[in-house]
Amino acid sequence: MMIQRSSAALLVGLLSSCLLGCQQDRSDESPVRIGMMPKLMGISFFDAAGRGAHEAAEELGVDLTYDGPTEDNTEQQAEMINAWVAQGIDVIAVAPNDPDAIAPTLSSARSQGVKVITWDTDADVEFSQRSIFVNQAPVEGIANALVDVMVRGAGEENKLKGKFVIISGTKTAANQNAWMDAMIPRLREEHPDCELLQTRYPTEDQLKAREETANLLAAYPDLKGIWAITSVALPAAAKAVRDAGRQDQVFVTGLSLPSLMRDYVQDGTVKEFVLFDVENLGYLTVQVAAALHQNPLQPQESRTMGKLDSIRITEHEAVLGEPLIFDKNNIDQYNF
Amino acid sequence: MKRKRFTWRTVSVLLPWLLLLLSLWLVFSQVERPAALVNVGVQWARVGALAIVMTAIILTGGIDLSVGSMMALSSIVMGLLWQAGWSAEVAGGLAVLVGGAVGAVNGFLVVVGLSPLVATLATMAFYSGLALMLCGGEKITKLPRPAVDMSQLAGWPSEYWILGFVFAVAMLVVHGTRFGRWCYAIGDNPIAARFSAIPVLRTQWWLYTASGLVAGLLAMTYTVRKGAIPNAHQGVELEAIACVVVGGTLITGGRGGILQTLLGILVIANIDIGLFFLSGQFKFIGADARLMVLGVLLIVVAVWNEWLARADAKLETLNKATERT
Repeated sequence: MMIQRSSAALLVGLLSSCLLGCQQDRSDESPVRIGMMPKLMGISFFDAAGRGAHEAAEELGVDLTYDGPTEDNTEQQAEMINAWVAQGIDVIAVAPNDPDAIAPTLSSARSQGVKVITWDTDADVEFSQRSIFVNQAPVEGIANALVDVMVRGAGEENKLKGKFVIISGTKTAANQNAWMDAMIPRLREEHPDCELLQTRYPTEDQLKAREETANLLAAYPDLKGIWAITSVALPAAAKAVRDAGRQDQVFVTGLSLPSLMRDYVQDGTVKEFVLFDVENLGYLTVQVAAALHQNPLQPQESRTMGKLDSIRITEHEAVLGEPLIFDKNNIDQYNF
Repeated sequence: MKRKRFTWRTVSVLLPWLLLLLSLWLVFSQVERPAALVNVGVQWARVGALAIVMTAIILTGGIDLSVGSMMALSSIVMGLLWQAGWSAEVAGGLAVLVGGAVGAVNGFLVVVGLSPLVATLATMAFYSGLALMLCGGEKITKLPRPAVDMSQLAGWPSEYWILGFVFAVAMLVVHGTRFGRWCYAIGDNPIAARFSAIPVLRTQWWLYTASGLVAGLLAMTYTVRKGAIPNAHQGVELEAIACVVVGGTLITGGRGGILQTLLGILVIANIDIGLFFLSGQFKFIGADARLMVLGVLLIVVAVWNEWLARADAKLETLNKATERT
């Protein structure tokens, strides 16, 4: 009992000295602390974004923590954000796995004086109260690029005719849904002879995406083209088409990373595909976070941020730019 | 002999407190907004409330692996009713009842004679499957605002009040009543307990039901906070069990207590949070490294406890031998 009492006294003493001590720790001149969180760590997409983020952090002299959950889990994201707030991070940039479930955590961070922005995927704007969304490319830009590439590759006199299909990821993926919502009306309007089969959702699973594609190829011998619009689905679809030996009949395109697509582009299975510069997305996010720490960003048609020029800032978004189209000639210039 | 015994006891009492001091120092030396720690602690308050009931169950030599699934099921039931236009308060009350009911089913299975490990392993799968089926695999969010915000009480997140309440009740019941002494007796030797006219089955049934009730209560506050997410509570049972073990309660039952578990919760929570803070400066302290630290801690504590128990047993035989001569 004696021991317990004395250790309890020690504990109280230590606690209070800590509390007093940490008030004096940081002066106003210490660098801005930015916490940037991907949907998950350890996949090439977010590794590339992390490289760009660290590049910007070095240029600006800010203190960057790039960390996230090991699987695409909202609960872990919320816990880590709460801890960052307690630790004293100044600006938090998050790519939410679940735009709704993360919202209360973000708004509570904001009410404690932390600046909150989103990147890659936006959170629920009203509930999260985030300041700005760093957008990789306008939705229409990506949707148009996807349709244009298909028209160039599989069109007859600039019109799509025959059976086409979209392979997405999970049903709730906000980005993919937005792109499809922009693509489909345009297809209906400009390409009346394009028969769109039911969209497939193999989740972010390489094996399922490949199976789904193989089934489609077997069921529709006259399939003309496939849009695979997640970084996982496109290489899987390309592999299925190559395995079936249908490269010449089925035009495959979509969104993915150059590093995952190099083989298929070199051997001609995929002629062109679409993405934005992921490293620059990470770079821009840190630039925006650092700028926001000083002042709110004013809407601007074209603003220079570090090495990037012509960044469009609106009231709600900072837009990286138009998407990139990768083909045999330029794919080796990118290392993400 | 006496001298040696005193040393062991001193170390065994001091060790968890030293761990706690170390972990508190880890956290508080790095915190700039101490007020925000309240939010960080909510998930640990949740784990803690479950761990305290778990302690009573483990004292009887049982275990409840289904707490996460019970939370998921209660949460989904509440979400569905709330979405269908019921008031949040009624839906929440029903969620607690659902938790109690599925806990009672666990209790029934154990009373019937299934091993607690097997029974709750089975219901863990069953309840979480049922939850997924009810909601069609999709989370239920964007629920209307409740008239009474059940996630807050007097300015503090309700999870802390639940933890406090469960702790107080458990302290009282386990360490102050006949029911508590039955728990220890059952864990020590269930057959001897039955022959001593202890109502083994009734005791067990109540414990598993209580575990379900607490899970339901926590599910209610979680749902008000974030909505009904079927897979959000996976793994919480293991965290709770880890707290019990690190606290020093013997996993085979018969030894341990509620206060020790509270200590275990504080140690684990502070180490986890403190290491996360450190990971900003030291890249090698990732999520994987934090899991490894927890693993090592569990092994050390388990070995330590085993050793203590053995030393005690030896001492007892020695004492008996001296008495006889």
